[in-house]
Amino acid sequence: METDGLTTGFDDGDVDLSDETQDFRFLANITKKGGAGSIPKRGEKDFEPDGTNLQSSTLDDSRNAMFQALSVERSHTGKTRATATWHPTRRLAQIHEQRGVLFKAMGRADKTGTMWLLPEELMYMVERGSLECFYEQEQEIQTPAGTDGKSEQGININVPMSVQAVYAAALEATGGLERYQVYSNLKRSGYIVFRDPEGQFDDLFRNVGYEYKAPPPVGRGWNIWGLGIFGALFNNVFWGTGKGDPFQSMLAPGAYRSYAEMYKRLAIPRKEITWTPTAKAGGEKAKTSPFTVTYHVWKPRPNFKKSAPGPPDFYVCVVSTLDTRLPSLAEIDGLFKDIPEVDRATAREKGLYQGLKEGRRNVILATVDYGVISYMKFSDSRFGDEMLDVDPPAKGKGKPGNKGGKGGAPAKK
Amino acid sequence: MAETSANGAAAAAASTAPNKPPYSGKPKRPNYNLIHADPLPVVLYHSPPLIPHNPLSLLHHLYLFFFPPVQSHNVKYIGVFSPVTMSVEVRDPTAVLDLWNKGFWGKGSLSRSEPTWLNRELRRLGDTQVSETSEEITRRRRDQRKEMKKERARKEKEELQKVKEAEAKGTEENGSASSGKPTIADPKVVVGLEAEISGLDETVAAAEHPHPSIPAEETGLPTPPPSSDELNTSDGESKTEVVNIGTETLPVSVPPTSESPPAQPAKVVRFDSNTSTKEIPAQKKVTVQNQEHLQLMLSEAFFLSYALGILSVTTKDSAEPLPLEETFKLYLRYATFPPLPESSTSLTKLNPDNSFLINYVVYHHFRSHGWVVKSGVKFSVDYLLYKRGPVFSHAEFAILIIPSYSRWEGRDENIGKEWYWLHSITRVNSQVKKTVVLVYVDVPTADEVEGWDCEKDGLKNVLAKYKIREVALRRWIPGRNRE
Repeated sequence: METDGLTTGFDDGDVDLSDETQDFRFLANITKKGGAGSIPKRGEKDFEPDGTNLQSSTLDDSRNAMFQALSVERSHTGKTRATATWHPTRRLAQIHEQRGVLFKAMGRADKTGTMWLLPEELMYMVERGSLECFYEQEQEIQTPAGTDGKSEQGININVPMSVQAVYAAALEATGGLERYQVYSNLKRSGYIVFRDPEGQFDDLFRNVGYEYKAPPPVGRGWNIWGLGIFGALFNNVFWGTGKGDPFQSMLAPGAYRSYAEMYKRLAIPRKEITWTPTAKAGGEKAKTSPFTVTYHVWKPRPNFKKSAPGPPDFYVCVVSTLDTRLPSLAEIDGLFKDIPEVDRATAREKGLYQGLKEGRRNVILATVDYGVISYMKFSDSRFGDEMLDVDPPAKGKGKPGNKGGKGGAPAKK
Repeated sequence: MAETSANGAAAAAASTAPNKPPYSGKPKRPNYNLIHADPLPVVLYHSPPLIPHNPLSLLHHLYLFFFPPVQSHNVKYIGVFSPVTMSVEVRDPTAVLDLWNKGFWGKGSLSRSEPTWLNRELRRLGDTQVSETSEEITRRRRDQRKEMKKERARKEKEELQKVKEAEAKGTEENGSASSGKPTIADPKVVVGLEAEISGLDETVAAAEHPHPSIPAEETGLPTPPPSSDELNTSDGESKTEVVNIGTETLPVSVPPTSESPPAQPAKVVRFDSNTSTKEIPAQKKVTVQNQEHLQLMLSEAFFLSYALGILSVTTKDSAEPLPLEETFKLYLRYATFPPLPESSTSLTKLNPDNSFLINYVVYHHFRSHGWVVKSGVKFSVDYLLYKRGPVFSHAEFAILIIPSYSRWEGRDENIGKEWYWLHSITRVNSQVKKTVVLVYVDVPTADEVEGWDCEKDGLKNVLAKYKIREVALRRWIPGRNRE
């Protein structure tokens, strides 16, 4: 009873509105002076010219509204003007005075109370016009003698940087254009984004006020090992070992009282549940792998504290489509290793399907294809830990509830 | 043997609603919980209740333990390996019915999934005792959708006409020199659009009256299949079928019918609900030779043969069932196309990087955890996972097998697929609300499996050496995860 998808329509969770071309007329309501217009509902999409004036005038209106919105003069009040100085050798920007709400989730202060910004934070703030950045020539480089350098230093200091200049100076230190694109995309969507501590180049940012490492897995696979050993012993004692039929049927004919009993015999025990990388794949290779967690991401929340952010909501790994392909098993394994894991019971709370989809842990891969970002969540699913109900629902004398329960999620349609 | 009157499936469907009078409302769905109660084609043994303080009962139970009165599966089904379709064919109607009802094995060679060809044929010839098939329901839904689209196109056209008329009036009133907005529309485009809309009408009309003489292709629109038979063969799987019929010499002639000519549409006679069931002698009964068989994927067939031990496979050359190791070798050879030569596959020097083995490992893995595993070729994946079965719910997971060679010396690990490939597959599957699961299979080396063919349970040990790791994929959209 498969449908071919057209009837089911779109999955709301999967339709990204930003993928479509916007009708910018709603901007006219916002940019109008004192216009308390609300954002209108999206209308029907036009695919081709139909020859009416109505359509062309609608298109013109939309285009004009967009230009109008873009041409609005942007200004800053003196009160919230924040400035910073870019330090090329340290590859950080020093904040002179912190003003504005953005610092709640950005930057970090050192022991002296000076606030420092990471290059991506600096770029993001300069780009959106919240910060003015100045360039400082370092004394050590420019003035080795130290006598005539003073005047030069005086000149170099307080040179304001354009957005282009900030890009040129700081982009490399962000780890590449792709990383910055993902960073700014997430920030603009409202998220709180910090680099993974492993990816920090400066000690100031490296220690974080939250536990982000997975506790070492304890005793996982014990049961299966135990069963395996005892099972083998049992087999040895009762059935003899060594030579025999390699094609011995897994389900010998006999009297079985439930299907679950049969399925137990059909299961193939795998000694290791988690995959352990061999010497070939581990070590050096794993460290240089592009598949490492790049950003820790928190959902926007009003009471967010930089010093004690709590565990992140998402882990994001940024890769470029230019130099990566679908990750190999070793790469996937290395990626998951950095992420804390929930136990089976917690995963199952959301139901069987949801639990498998979310997995024990998951990481969001942001693949950047020439500036186009697509996010995909990779979840460590562990289908092997879940055994479905195989026995038919108990033949019901007045047990309708049981019937539904066994079936699990009700059939769609 | 195949021409059992009103076939088994129909009988099963009918038996679930035995004494109900036929009524004209929406046809009731058969009780799938009853029909598909068993997840495997084996028999359960329901022991009598144990009464602990009764020594006789204890003794009885002891006796039953050592001499069970019921064998779970002494039945052996026979399948014929078909090298052309690379599948195993089952033709015995009771076997087909059993395999479908108990675990949804295989698919009908002339149907989308459940073997319903006979029922469809009987209904087409006017048999009134057969219930509606899923193919018919699907077709009806598609027709409704077509109708809806036609209606929508008509409304859009009307709307457009109205706007145009109003605009024409406006320009007349204002005069040609008025400062009205310039018409940028290209008249050619407008003509093209109208032609397209009228073209849509034509195709719909063509679909309503299935005369293939109307050349709907001229409108440039995808033509809906003109007749039901074509619709059934449009599913892609049937390509192989055509070949099959060609090689086999099946009787393709018009199936013999008992009485009336098949071209004449049968009358559906409705009875009042108060008429007693005994007084309905006029029900029409048709006998048709069943030309459909059940096709099993090689993984399915091997699971039935090896894991459950209820299927024997023969070849076209002889009726003698092949021993299991020969079947295994056959499948290994036919894992690739063109098939490997017989000399290159030996059991002692088993190559673990054989696509049949890798596919089977994954198949067995999910089957043994209670999933119903079907082919995912329609959705560009390897397998689909159903909970309980396709009649109960849609498949939730789509399985993509990614072999991995971390234990192989000198084999480059990172020859992954390109991202666009993955994106296209996840897009297709999110349209049908399925979650794509990457199943990484870490393949053992040839050294690791050496000597398996003289061990007891050797194959099971080989299968256990493949490591499996599932990674579910979902699109993540920043705007929808903020809460």
